[in-house]
Amino acid sequence: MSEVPRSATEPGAFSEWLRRSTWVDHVLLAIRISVAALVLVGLAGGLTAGTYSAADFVSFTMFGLTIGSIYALIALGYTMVYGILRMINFAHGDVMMIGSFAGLFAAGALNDAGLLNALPLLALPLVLAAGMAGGATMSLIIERIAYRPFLHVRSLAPLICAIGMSFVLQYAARGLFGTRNRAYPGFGWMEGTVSLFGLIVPIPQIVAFIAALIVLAGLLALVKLSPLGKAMRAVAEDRDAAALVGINVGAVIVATFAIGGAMAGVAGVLYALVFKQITVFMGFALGVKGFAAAILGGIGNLGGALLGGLVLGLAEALGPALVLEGFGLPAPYQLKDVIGYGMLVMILIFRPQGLLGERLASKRA
Amino acid sequence: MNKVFFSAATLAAVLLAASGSRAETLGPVTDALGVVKITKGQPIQIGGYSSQSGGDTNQGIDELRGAEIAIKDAGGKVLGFPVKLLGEDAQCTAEGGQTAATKLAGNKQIVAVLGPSCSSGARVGAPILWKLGIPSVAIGATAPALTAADRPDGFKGFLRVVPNDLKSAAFTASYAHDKLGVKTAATIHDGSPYTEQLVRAFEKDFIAKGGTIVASEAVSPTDTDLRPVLTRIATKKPELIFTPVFTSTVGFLMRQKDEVAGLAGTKVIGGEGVFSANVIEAVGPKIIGFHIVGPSTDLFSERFPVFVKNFTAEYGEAPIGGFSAYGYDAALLTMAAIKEVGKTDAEGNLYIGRQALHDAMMATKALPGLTGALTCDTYGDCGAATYAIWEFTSDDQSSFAPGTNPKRIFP
Repeated sequence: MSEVPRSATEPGAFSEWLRRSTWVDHVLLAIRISVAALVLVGLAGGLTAGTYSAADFVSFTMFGLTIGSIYALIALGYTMVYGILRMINFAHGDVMMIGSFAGLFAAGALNDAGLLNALPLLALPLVLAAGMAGGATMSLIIERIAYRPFLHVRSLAPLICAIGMSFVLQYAARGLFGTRNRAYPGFGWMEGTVSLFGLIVPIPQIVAFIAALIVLAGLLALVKLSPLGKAMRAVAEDRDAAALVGINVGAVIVATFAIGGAMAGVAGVLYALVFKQITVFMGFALGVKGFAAAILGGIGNLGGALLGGLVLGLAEALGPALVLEGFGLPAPYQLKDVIGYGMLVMILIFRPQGLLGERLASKRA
Repeated sequence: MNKVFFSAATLAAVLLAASGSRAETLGPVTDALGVVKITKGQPIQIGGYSSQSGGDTNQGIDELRGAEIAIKDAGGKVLGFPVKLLGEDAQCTAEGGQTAATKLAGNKQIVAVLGPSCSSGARVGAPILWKLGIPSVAIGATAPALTAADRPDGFKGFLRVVPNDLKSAAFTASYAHDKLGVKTAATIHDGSPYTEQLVRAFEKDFIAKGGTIVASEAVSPTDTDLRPVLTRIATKKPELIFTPVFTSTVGFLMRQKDEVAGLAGTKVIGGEGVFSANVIEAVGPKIIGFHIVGPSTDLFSERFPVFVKNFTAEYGEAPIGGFSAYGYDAALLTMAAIKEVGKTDAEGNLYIGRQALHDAMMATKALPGLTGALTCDTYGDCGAATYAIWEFTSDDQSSFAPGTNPKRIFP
């Protein structure tokens, strides 16, 4: 076959792309363009509709950051376990629920002692500690019963087991604590609102956001700076090689579960601080959100979990007001989850490795 | 082989004939839908299906207990025949309603069915029963669609003694407009058929009275952050928010409402779904001043206190709210209709025509029931509306007691 004669002019980037691309690329491009167009039209409509004032948007943003930081705390548990075991711990959301109930009982006891109203700044760390202890303990139990037997088994069994564990926790809690909504008692002055630059902001939101940041910073410091963190990173990199250089892989896995559970416990208490009501079934929905945040940021990547959580929280808080409002939908807030999960689908289509990328993917490949 | 084929063909022919015209003559009665023959000494069987398991168990058990008291008050007999109530569990789901109705429909001696407790079960269960000519009298299913003028044929045999939600909507709209003098209102539903249909009915009635609906919003039952919705509503400055959503959503709504600028003084009226002690815990201190619209047992007939006494004596515990009274009235209505259409032959057997029984039930007029005078309209709504507006007065959960907390403020 003779060589195809080239045209006099060099082909441009566009025709080069046309030549190399397949129909799949064309479809993907079409989806990208239509999604971008939808978002832009929605944005333009939402901003010109003028339903909300600038102050409203700032208030939504602050709320998005608060709930986002809670998602981030949950996402960390998913991401840490995935990084080390390559497994999704679907019972993680319910570990958070257990932590939240542990916090509830601690808060109840402190409330009876009068400490909650008198010294909220002392009481909150105690309640958080109870939540962390509850979450970590539950996480350790799950690891021992449900995951350790599968450590060297390559199958879907751990995943199925995790889903089963999730139901066991939900219904055990249902039997123990009942199905009704339980309310956290008030934390003294933390129940009020403050005026910031003319905006009324509920104090629990600020407290939860700051507490989440402190805990996240502590966790990052632990992973980056401590010998345990180094061992965790080594196990995540290559479990066998880590074992060869003398790292106790089993102990590292246990520590990972404990830390992930403690993070979930903190998330559970902070969630309750903001929303006041908890139920035994709340773990599932929040777990899915945390999982979505982990995927969004790039699973296995700690920074990604943080970013994913905040992005998801902001998208949920601002999405309906900014984008859906623009289409003149009658009740945009019913579709709040569509924004969050729609974003997840987009990420999976266009950037399967997540926003920051799965940290280990490239090195492994 | 031939024999098997022949009997199969006969069976098919019989089934075909049965599914066509069901007109039947038995003893002295000819009826278009069939006749139930009750041999002398045998009981008249009435089915019952309500929530015997799941979250609404207490309600379902109370309802059938109420029906049993009604039978007992009638001396346990109608036309000299003992009456037997066969209870089934409909849970509060479509699947439960289907299972229970199918089971009851399998018993050809059942003349009528009481129940179910929930609209979801009625939606599936009532047509199954009516297909066999068995009318059902709901004791807790309040969704307007079940007795709407354009309801499917399967619901032609469906009646209810519990008031249609439309009555609750009309009552709330007139309270808001005529009593409070409110001109603008907003509504929030959570996408469930009950809340959405109730909210739509309220909007229609409120507008008909000359009011304006400034915002009609929806949330989902799992939503925890209602601030954006409330902010959106606040921009329209309604004087009142009507939202018959359930406990957790009411908790979030009332706790977050005052954080939204411009809504601090707005009144909120909730629905009867939160008529329980749980809502006090969910809402916390903000519960004080929260209004709900719900049935009031104070407005039931003067026989209700006597009934409560009998009930307590029989079962060792007082009935919860008014659920049992609806069960009582359902049984009462059914027995009155049986009394009207039942015919005996010379040997003392009882014959009940199914179509005749249904027509007699639908024709119920001013029957003195426990909840009030029962009169059925052409669509099967027989309930006497006994609504009231209640106001919560304390955030102490243990203080829940209809009458004091919440307190009846209207009428």
